[in-house]
Amino acid sequence: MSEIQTIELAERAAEGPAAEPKGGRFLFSSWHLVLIPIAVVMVIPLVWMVITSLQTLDQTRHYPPSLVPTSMQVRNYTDVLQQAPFARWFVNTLVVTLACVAGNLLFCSLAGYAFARIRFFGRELAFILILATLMVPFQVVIIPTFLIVRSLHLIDTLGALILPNLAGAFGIFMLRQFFRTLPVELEEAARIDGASRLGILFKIVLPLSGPALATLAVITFMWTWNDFLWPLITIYNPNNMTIQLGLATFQGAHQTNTNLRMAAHVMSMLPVLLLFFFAQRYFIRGIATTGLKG
Amino acid sequence: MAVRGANIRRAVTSDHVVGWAFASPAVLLIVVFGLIPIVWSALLSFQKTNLLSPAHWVGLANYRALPKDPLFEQSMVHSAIYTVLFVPFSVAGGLLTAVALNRPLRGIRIYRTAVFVPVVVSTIATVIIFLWVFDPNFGLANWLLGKVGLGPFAFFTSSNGALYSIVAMTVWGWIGFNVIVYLAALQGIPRELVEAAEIDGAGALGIFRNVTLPLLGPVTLFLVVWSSINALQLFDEVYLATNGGPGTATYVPVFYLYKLAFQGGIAGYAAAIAYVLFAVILVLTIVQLMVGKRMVHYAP
Amino acid sequence: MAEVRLEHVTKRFSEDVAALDDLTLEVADGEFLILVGPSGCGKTTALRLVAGLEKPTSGAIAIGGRIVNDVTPRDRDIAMVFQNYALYPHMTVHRNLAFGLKERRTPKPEIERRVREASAILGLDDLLGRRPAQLSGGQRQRVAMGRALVREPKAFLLDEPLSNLDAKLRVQMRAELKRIHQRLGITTIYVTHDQVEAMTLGDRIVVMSNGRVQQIGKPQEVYRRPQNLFVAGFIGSPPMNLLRGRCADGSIRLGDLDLPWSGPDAAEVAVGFRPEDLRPAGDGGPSLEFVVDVVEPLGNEVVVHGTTAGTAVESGAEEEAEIPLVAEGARAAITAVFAPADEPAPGDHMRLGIVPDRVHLFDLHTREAIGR
Repeated sequence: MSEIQTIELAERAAEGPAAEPKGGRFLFSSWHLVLIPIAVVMVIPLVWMVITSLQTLDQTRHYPPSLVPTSMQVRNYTDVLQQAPFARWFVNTLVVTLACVAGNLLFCSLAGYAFARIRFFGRELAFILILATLMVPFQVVIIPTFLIVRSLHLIDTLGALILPNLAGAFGIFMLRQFFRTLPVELEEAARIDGASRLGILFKIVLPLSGPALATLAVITFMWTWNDFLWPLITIYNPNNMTIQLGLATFQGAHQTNTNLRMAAHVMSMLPVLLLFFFAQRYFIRGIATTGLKG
Repeated sequence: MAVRGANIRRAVTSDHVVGWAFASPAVLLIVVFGLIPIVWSALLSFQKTNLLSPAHWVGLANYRALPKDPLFEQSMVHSAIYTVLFVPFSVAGGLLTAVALNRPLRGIRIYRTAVFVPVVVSTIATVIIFLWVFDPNFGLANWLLGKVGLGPFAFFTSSNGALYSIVAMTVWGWIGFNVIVYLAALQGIPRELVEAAEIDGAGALGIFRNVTLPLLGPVTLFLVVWSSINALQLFDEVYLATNGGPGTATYVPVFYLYKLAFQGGIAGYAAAIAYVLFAVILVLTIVQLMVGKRMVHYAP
Repeated sequence: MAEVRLEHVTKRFSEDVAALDDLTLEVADGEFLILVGPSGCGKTTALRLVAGLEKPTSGAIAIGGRIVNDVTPRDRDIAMVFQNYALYPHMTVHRNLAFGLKERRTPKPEIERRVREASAILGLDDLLGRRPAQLSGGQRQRVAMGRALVREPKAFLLDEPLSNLDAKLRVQMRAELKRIHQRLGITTIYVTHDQVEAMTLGDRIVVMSNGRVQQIGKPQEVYRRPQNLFVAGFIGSPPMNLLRGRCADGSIRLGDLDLPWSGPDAAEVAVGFRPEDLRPAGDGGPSLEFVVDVVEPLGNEVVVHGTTAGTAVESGAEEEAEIPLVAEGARAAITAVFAPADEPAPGDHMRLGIVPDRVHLFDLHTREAIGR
C-alpha cells in the first residue's frame, strides 16, 4: 500500500464511520449482540483496573473478584503520591514529552518544508537516507545509540530521553507529504509579495497545516509519554525516571499492593486518555497513518 | 554598496543554503541517532565487546555462534509461535470488529471508543492490567472461565501458558489499530458496488465474500505485513510481564539481545542477533508482499 | 512603472525539450501585452520567468532597464495575479491585501491608505473582514487583483486571471481590467489561451506555440494578416477555413474555383478564408460550391457548418481531440457565418461567394504567408 493511500485512509478513518441515525424510533439491531460482547471485552480490564484502584487491600484479595465498586478508597491515590516520587516522575515525563513535541513540530516542519519545496543540493539522497532509518527496527540501533548518548555524557539525565527524539523521520515524512498537498501558488504569491522562505513557512504554510501539526503533536505525545525501552536503558536514578519506568520499578517494590499499583497506573494513563478523548480524530488519523503504537 | 548588499542577500537566500539551513537540525539529529547507529551496529556485530573495554574484531564469529546457541533457537521458535498466533487473531479479529462497527447504529460512537481506547494505553499499563486480570488466585479471567467449567489456569506463571497469555494481552492492545485501518478502508468502498451486488441478488455473506473482502485486499496485506513486523519485534510486554520466564519460556529475540547487551555485556553478539532479526523481518516482508501481489487486486 | 525586456531567453526543464526557445520580446512602459497560445506553448513559463519564479536557462530579462536574472521575486517589484487567485485562505481580505506591504515594512498609515484606495477601485469595501472561503468567484478574483494593485508595482503579471469565472462574469471583468489599466497605465503582461480576451484587451498580442513566438502585433494586424498557418488557425473563432490549392499562371485554383492572383507562383498553397468573409453567392463573382450540414443560429448571426470539394489543411492549432464534422471522400469541412436573414437548412446545396482580397495564402512547405 502506497503512502498516499495510507494517508487517504487515515483521513477517512478520522472522519469516522457512518453517523448515528438521527432521531427516529429505537430499532434494536442484532448487531448489538455482536458489538456488546466485543466492547465489554475491550473495556472490562480497564474498568476493573479503576475499581481495584479504589478497593482496600483485603477487598483485592477477595475471591470471587468483585466487578461492582465495593468501596471508594480514594486514599490509595494519595498514598501512592506519598510512597513514590510520583509527582517528580510526572513532571519529568511532562518535560520530556513537551520538549519532544515542540522539537518535532519545529524541526520536522523546517526539514519537511525543505524536502517538500526547496530544491537544494543533495536533497534526494538526504531524504532517502532519512526514510531508510524508518525501516530499521529500533532494536538494531539501540546499542550504538546508547553508546553515542553515553559519549555525550547524557546517560541518567533527561537529555538522554529528549535529544535523540527531538526530530524523527516519521514527522519529516508526514509533514513533507502534507506540505506537498498545499497549492504551490500560495507560496509563489507570497514570494512575489516579498516573503522570505522562513516567512512563507511560518506565515503561510504552517497556519494552513493545523491538522497535520496536531496529528504529529498528538502522536509524538503518546509515543514519548508511553515509551519504555529507551528510558529503561538510559535512566537509573529514580529522580530522573519517567512515569512508565518509575511505575515499573514501583511494581517491583509493591508486588502485593495491587490496589496501590492500579491507582498509580490510572494516574499515569490520565494525560494520554484525556488527550485521546479531546483529540480523538487526530489520534485516529495519526494511528492510521503510521501504525505507531506506544 | 547596494550591489554588494544584493549579492550577499542572493548568496544567503540561495535555495541550496536555505534548503540545508532548514533541513540540517533534523538531518543532523537523524544522522547521529539513526544513521550512524545503523552502521555502527553492523560493525559491532563483527566485534567482541562489552561496551566498556576496547573492542576487537572477530569477523563472522558472532554469526557463526548463533546456530549453536540453544537460547537463540528457543527465542526464534517462541517468536515464530507468537507471530503465527498474533497476526491472524489481530487481523481477522480487526476485520470482523470493523465490519460490525461500520453501520449506523445507536451508540456506535460508544462501541468505537471502547474498541479504540486500548490503543492509547501504554504497554506497562496494559501489562499491569493483564497481570491482574490473569492473576491465578484473584484474577477475573479464572473466575469467568471457572463459570463455564474451565481452568483454573496459571497464565503468565505457567511455562506452557505464558506465551499464549502474552498473545491474548497484545491482541487486546493492538486490535483497535487494525479496526481503525479497516474502518477507514470500509468507508472507501463505493456504495454502488454493494448496491450492484444486491441487485444481482447476492446475500449479505455473498457481498462480504465477493465484494468487501477482495476490495479490502490491499489493506489486509498492509496489516499482515505491519503486524508481523511488530510481532517479531516484541519486547516490552515480555520484559514487563514475564521477564522471559518462567525459566526461558517467553524468551524472544529482542528480549534475548537486550539481556546480552545490557545485562550480560556481550554487545557484539547482541548486535549480530539484531541484524539477523532485521534480515528475517526483511525477508518475511518481501515474501508477504510478493505473495500478496498475486492475491490482491488493486482498484483499477 | 517600467518597460520589460526579454532577450534570447531559453528555458529548459529537461535536456531535450525547451519550454521556451530563444524568446525576444519588449514590453513598452505602460503597455498591455498579451501572451496567447494553446496550453504548453510556453506563455506561462515566460510570465513566471519575468516574475522570478523560474530562472532562465540562458538569455537576459530586464525590468526598467535593470537585468534581473539573479534578482529574487521580492526585489523585482512586480505583482502577479494567479489563475486560481492564490489568496491566503487563513487571512481576511484586508490582511491578504496588506500582506505584501507588511513584508516590505511599509509604514502602517501608508498600508491603510493603499488598501482603502484599492478596495475603492475594486468595490471591496464591504468584504475587507471576510475570508476567501466566504467570497464568490468574482469577489475572489477582485481580491486577487487588489493584492496586485496595492503594491503599486513596476509591472503587473496576470496568468489567465479570468479563466475560472463563468462566461457572463468574465465579460464584465474583462471590461473592468481594461478600465483599471487605462486609469493606472501600469505595464501589464497578460497570459491567456482565450483569443477573445487577447483581441479585446491587448495593445499588442504575442501568439506563441511550442515555446516560440509565431507573431507579434496589434490585435487587428494579427487577425487581418496572420503571418503563418498556425496564427491563421489559432486566431479567430470559428477558425479560418484552410483548403489545399495550387497557384499558377496568375490564378489560384481551388476545386472548381479560380481566383485571380498576381503574386509569385508556388506549387502548393493553403488557401484561407475567414467564416465571416463567406456569404451566400448573389451576383456572378467567384464562388465555392457548398453543402450545408449543421446550422447554429446564435441570434445576431448564424454559424453554418458544411462541406465543399477539396482537401482541408491542418494549421497545427487544432485542439487535440477535434473531430472533423465531415471527412468523407474528397470533401473538406468548412464553416461560414451568415446574417440571420440568410439562415439555410441542413442539406441545402448552395454557392458561397468569396471576396478575393480577403483570401489568405500560405506556402504549404514553409507554412509562412505568401504575398501581400
